Amino acid sequence: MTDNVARGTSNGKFEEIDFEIDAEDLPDRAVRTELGAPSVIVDDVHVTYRVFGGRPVSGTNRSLFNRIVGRARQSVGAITEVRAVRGVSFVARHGEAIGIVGTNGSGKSTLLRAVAGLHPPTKGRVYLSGEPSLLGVNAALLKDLSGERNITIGGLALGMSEAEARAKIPEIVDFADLGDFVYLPMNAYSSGMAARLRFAISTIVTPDILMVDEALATGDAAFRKKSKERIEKIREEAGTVFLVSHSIASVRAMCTRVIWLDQGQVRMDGDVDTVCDEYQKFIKGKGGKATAGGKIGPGGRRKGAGKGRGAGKGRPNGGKRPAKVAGQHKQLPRPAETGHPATGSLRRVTQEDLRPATGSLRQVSRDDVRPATGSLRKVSPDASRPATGSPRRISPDTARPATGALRRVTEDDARPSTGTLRRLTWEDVRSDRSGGGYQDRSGGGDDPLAAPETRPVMGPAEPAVPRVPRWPSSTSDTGFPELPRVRADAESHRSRRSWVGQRRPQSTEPAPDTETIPVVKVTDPRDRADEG
Amino acid sequence: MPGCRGTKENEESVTVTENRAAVPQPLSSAEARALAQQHGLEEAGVRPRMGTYLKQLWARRDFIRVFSTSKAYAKHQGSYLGQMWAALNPTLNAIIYTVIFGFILGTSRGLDNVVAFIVIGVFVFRLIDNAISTGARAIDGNMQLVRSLRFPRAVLPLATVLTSLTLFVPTVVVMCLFTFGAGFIPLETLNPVPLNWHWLEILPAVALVTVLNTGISLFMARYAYGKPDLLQVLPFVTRLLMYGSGVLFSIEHYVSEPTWLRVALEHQPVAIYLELFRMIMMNEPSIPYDPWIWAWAGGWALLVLVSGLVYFWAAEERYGRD
Repeated sequence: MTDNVARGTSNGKFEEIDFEIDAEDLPDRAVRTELGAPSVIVDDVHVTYRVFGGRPVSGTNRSLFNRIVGRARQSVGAITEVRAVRGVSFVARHGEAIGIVGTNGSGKSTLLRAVAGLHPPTKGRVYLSGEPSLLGVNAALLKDLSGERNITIGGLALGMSEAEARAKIPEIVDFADLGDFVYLPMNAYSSGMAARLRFAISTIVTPDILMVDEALATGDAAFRKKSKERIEKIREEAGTVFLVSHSIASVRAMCTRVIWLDQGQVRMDGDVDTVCDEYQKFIKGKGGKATAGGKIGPGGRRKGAGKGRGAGKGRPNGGKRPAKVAGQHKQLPRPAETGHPATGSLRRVTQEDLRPATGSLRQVSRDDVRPATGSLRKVSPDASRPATGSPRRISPDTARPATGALRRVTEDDARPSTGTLRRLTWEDVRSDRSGGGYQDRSGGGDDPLAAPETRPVMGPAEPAVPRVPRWPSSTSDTGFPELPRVRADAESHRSRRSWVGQRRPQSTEPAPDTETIPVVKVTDPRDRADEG
Repeated sequence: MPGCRGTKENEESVTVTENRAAVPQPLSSAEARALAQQHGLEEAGVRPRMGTYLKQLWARRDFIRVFSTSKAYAKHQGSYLGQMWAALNPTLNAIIYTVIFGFILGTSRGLDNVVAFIVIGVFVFRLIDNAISTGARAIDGNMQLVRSLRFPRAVLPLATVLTSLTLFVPTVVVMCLFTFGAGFIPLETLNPVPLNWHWLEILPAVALVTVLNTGISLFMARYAYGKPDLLQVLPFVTRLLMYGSGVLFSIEHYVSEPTWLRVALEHQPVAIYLELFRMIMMNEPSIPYDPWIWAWAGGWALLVLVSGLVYFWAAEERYGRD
């Protein structure tokens, strides 16, 4: 789970790498085609590989002699045998899409390579009906060479002639959306680009057996959609698809059958829902909190994605959405860089949870941020309400503690929920904070917090929504009148899906008392002017 | 856990006449093989017959060519002068040899032109040395490719040879220029190196050394595969080979008595090929033109190629397994 996150952060490419398939890209269920003849027969395959320099230290006897010898043995002649796959058998058929799930290190990728004939098994046999093509995130081509050369080489390695491979270049560049980067060596590519190119190359020729090793997790939403379509096409052409993924959402959506590997052995093999349900139960029982938020935490997050699928279904033009949504989200991580501790959590919420559910961010924010208003409610009656009416009346002493708390809420949660609330809060903060160190933290840009204090506090000419550049413009034009409807919507979702309870316990309780919202609403007179 | 395998839904969704595969229990090995045979499935990771293998290799000739030339191109890509280094590198080398052996050391070692002797010796030896060391890394160094795509693995050692050859082309030009030019250096120890028709034989000689290198590379690719320690030792082995082949000094220099050792050293492949190039290009009384050297060179090339190919092919199904 953590490796996923780590990969993202270490590259600093949150915009490039999305570790999740947008649930709205996925159909509810993979299309079941008629199964043909066997295409892959795996007979009791074992894969053992050697690792140099990895001898574990025996911790019991700590005498000086043993320590010295232990050190030496650790550094010299240290070979560890890892039994990655231990006796796996199954039969795959044409037209089948098989998901391989399992915790990290359960041997999924190794099994896939063994089945592809790329990592010869130590024991056992693999029978194939055609040429397999393995597509993995790590399977780099020659990084010193340009994308163009790599396309040619990839095509040639797949058995095309040079002329054929060259003829395919424009198509691949187009598919992978490389643009002029195709002339640069691949080590200049972002990881997302490289992954897109590899995917495009691997699927130049329609392989009989396509194996995808978590490759779908890369690329932006638009590309994921394209790659998904291509995989569907391969499946339609009676090929067999293997998908190794930690994303139960994508496995559920794309596979008809699932093999669950555990410590190199098949723990379950069968229909997608049966196995996925069992696997999720297992993960939940095993990892609990640790796995809930991460890559392999289907118990938590993937169910969230599942919810999104439901939500997306009702949307009229779900097909056009992904790119747009992705565009919006590309902007969202920015606030985190400005250093507000609170925006960090805002980003997390949006990226991981809200998005799958969204067609429109607006809906989601209503729906999901509500719990946050709960805490806002607690704050506002004491301090912020008097303050909002007319900020000038309040002495700094009384207002400051309140704004301290209030600010946190605003940054974190309240902003998305309502235009009004947000405006009030900024007003509050700004009037109170003149001369404070706010600008420094915001780091400039379009952050309203960074706005100069000279901004008119109450002037009607003041743009009502200082957040517009950062937030979808739709926020401002949905005012309150719509709120009840949306919430009802959200409520129905919530009752349909039980996932919310698992993710965020506080949101299982019925939506916060409606009385508290009007409290906020009445406060600013300018709102009425806006609405009118 | 066989008990968990297969579900009702799964079985229902199978609409095919062949129902055995849907049975939750794993097939026995014999059943699996029978099923595979019935549907024409081929076992993966099984070494093809030699004929088939050669055919597959031939089918990938474009791949070998593009792959190797691309690699050669990439070698000098990370520098400002770029591909110019392909020519600059051997030139600088040749200048160093000329300065050190022609001007500083200034001994003739009983040779008409010691600079020509050394320039030819070093460049030809480096070509063969390259086949040994890059051949040894052919599989391990391309593990990503091996793990991603299926192709006859002999493609990799063959490509390394072709890469070296591509890089050798400018070297040959430099070698010819310096060999010829060394005759014009006004030093008593350096006699002229006449240009004659034999120089045209450089082309078949390069072709022959490429055949030899292919064999060496195939051999080394298998021999060094999975033995990372060998790569550490290899430079010392090739250094020894350098002294045992008469690169800087003729073998007579070490072993003056015509013993079996000298005969063996003089007839080992590397020495033969050095002799071949020198005999073609130089006018040394101690290296007379001898058609038998051609025979030896051809014999070695063929022998090494065939044995290297068979040796490499015999482990085809194991490459990629750690």
